[in-house]
Amino acid sequence: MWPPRALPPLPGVPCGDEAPPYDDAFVERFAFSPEGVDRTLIWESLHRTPSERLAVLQGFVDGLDRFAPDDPPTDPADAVR
Amino acid sequence: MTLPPTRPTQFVDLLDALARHRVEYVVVGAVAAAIAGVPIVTHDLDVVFDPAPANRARLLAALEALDARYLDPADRLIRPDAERLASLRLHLLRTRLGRLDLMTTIGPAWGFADLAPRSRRYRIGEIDVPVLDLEAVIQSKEHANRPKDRAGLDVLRETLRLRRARSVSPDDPAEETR
Repeated sequence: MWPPRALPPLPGVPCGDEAPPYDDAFVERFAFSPEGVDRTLIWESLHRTPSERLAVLQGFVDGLDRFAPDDPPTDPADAVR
Repeated sequence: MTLPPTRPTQFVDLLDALARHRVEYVVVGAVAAAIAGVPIVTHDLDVVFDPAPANRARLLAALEALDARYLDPADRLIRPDAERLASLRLHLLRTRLGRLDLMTTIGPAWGFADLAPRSRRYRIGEIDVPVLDLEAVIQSKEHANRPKDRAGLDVLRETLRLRRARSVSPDDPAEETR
């Protein structure tokens, strides 16, 4: 939807020579909050404009609507009552 | 009577319809959180409106233009009217532009007069949209304390933490505020 942007590192993550090796422990520690929230998704969103954030939401809603119950079945096999 | 299917909620078009009718309101809930940067999905637009009589009249005109009707569990065709807008706290509506939930209060009985000072105006497309601050959105959900509110709180809180770490300010061009 938009050209990829170079994002700054997540706050609190050691950078450059100080960065630990990229392994599971590194990812678990810095990519997720203690509650298990994916911080990289949030960081990406925070670097979009508000209009872009709403457009992303709109894209999800438009996509999910393809599975709305109002839709008639497209596969005859699904039309069983 | 079965209601006809509607298209997915068109968030910008709904906000534009409210703006064209000069309705005073604040966007709250999940859309407010999404605009603030929370990666979250919702199917409806939640709005707290100014209950002043003149604003209710403008809101009613907007709802008529949007072909709004209540989401009635008994599937009746019930339209918003002046009396309902003046007396009900919660209006769950289906419009030709999708789902619109109108409220007079949220959280600990916060009305428009409480929420407006805690909102900021974001530039969305061609309109300025008043959106409740993320901190206040979190407080409203903490107060509501329903399972669906609790389920999303960790993401909201982490987003607020990262916003502060990034020092997002009204001067940040990425915020497009006015």
